[in-house]
Amino acid sequence: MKKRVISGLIATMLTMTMVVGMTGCGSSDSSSSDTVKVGLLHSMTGSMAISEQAVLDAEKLAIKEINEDGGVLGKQIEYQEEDGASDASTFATKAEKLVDQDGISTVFGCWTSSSRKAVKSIFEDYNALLFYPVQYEGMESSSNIVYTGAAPNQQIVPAIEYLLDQGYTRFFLLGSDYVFPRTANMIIKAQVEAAGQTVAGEEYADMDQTDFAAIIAKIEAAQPDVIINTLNGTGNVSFFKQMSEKNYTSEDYMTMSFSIAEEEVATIGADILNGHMVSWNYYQTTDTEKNKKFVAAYKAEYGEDRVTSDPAEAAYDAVYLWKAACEEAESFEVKDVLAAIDSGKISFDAPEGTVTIDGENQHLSKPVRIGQVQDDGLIYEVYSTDAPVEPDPYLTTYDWAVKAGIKPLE
Amino acid sequence: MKKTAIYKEKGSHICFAVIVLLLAISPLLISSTSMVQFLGKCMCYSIVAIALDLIWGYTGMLSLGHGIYFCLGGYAMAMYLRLRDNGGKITDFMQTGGLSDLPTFWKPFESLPLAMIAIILVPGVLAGVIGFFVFRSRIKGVYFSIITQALTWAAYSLFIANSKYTGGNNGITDVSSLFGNTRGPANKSNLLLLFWVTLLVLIMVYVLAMFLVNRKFGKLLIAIRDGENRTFFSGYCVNNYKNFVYTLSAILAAIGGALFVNFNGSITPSQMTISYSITMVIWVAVGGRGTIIGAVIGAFFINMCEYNLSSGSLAVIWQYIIGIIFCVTIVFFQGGIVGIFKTQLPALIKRHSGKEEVA
Repeated sequence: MKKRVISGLIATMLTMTMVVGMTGCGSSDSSSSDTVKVGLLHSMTGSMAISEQAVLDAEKLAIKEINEDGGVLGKQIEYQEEDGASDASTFATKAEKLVDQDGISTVFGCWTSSSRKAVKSIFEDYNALLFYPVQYEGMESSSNIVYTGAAPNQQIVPAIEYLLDQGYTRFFLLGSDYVFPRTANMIIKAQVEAAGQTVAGEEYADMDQTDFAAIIAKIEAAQPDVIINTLNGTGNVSFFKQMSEKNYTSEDYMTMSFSIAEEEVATIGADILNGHMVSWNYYQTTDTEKNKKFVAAYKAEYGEDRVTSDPAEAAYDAVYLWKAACEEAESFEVKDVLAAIDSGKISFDAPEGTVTIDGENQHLSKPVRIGQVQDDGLIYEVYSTDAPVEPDPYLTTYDWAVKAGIKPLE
Repeated sequence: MKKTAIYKEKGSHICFAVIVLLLAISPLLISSTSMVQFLGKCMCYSIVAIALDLIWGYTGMLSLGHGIYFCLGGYAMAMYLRLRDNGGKITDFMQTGGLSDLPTFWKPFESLPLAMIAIILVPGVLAGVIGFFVFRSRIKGVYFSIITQALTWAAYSLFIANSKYTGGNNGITDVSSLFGNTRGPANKSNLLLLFWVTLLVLIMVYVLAMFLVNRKFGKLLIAIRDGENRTFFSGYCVNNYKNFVYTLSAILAAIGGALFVNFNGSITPSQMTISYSITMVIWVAVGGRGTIIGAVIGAFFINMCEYNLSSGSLAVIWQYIIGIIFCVTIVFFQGGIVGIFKTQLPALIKRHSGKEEVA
């Protein structure tokens, strides 16, 4: 008797687990009559949560503003958040859940290249649309992804050009050991060598390395006049703290960083970073009317102590660009929106200046700004391009890149 | 005593039969392919959980590094699929890394039979060699766990550092499946095929594990767990038994990883991290270690919780919920979900009905 009771119980419990697991399968209605649903796919837990929170906040701010302004094509935007948990496979699972099970065709999301690469084929297979808001290493263009961050020729290449113009001759390349620094350094080496200058050294640190004594010794031995820094995350904090413990300032070793924005300056310390250079498309101090409004709205929404940064601004732009594309297409259907994007007419008067989606490679044309960290923790522009720079993710328009064999992948 | 043993087994067989039945019909009932994909991934996790249960639940060796074998299987399968889809061209990360030819050690992965053999052979040989040295040196308990962690960490660093051979921390992406593209309604037939093949593998792994643990072999594993020295002095070559079960477990984990790639479409080194390996241990602990069915239930239960909890308003706190489930299991329900139904609940009912009889 009891036997049956127990196996019955186990079976019931299992069935319940299954049912719990499958709830929501039937609901694939993406939007009711007066709302349109989009997905926000970012890491809310894990090591990337700190960075991605700022991007997520910017996206929510844009959605809120648009809704208050009457929505898109008369519909209010609803969003569904999914946690990618700083793990590429979770991103893949969640992306598929959003675009298939939940029937959402437009997703704003990802930060790391590994998460973007893991979801790329999912967006292509389901013909959905991903807006990716972070600068990255280039060498990619998918017809189902709109890249609103900088391609290498809108961040790395102009920064090196600027340094070469300023008369720097010995470059030391330091990065975290993953795909962005390695690809960036491959590009930088080709560019520096084509200009007849020297790469004095190239070092990679583990993602969570905290001891930089060996690397600093190598820098001292190589005697570079500028360090190109592509460290990411906690590595930056340790590296700059240990440099400052040895009393090295930007006068001794100038650095040019590609992953340090306002948020990172706050964590590392403005006194340590004072005078060092960075390269982005946008700073909190960028002097445009739109930016004043954006910074004020961001601080009003999330607190006076919060800072805006390039990735956050690119995420904010992404939502508005999607809105513009929908309005141009007069539809929310992915194929119509993509057709509108491919026309090359979709642009937005963004805080960084006017940005336009390139119809060919779906990256943005955007202005480039070299900035210098000041002791108030903000970054101030020291140089900017006169006009927006056209995106060139494969660097096909640069002779030295073509010569060095940096070419589109087959 | 004997009767109880048989009855316990019957319970899990019925339970497994119910799971298999539900899984078998689920792709026909569920319209969204992503949910089917997810259930497929859960089946792969179950295979890994069974593998881990064999060495932890039965033999008492807590491996905190099974991610390495999961990934070896995964990378092997992913590379075969990638090369097949590329039609002879090398992968994008090899081109970015400046290679023009396929590295020699990836050559075998151009053919399916060789790739299949590699999926079994590479983790098998690696685990066999590691096991040989570890068990010969009589390393056990927490030291064994630490060594498995260290090896996983080493493998992780190796895969990250050699990005032109392994894809670095992006891993191998854009992978279809053995049966072609499985995404979207148009490719449902491919997905069904893949799903049922995976289910078949899960059944085979379950039967194999059951076959082993219900023989004298299984009794010996438990004997090693509960009193290794006694077993040794009874004349059994403990090391060989441990090494065999460790190697078998590695191979099963690799098979799980290889199937996982088919559903997931990519494999990254994050599946090789220590934290992911510990997640696997949580599946087994929550389901009920020392029972094969417990491993399967645990893998499904925890992953379904993750899948459903980690969106919307719960997204920020879902990891705490999983953590609490794990802690509560360890403190109050050491037998996991299976233990609750097998011992704790019957005991409660017995006590209750006993009281009633007295009254």
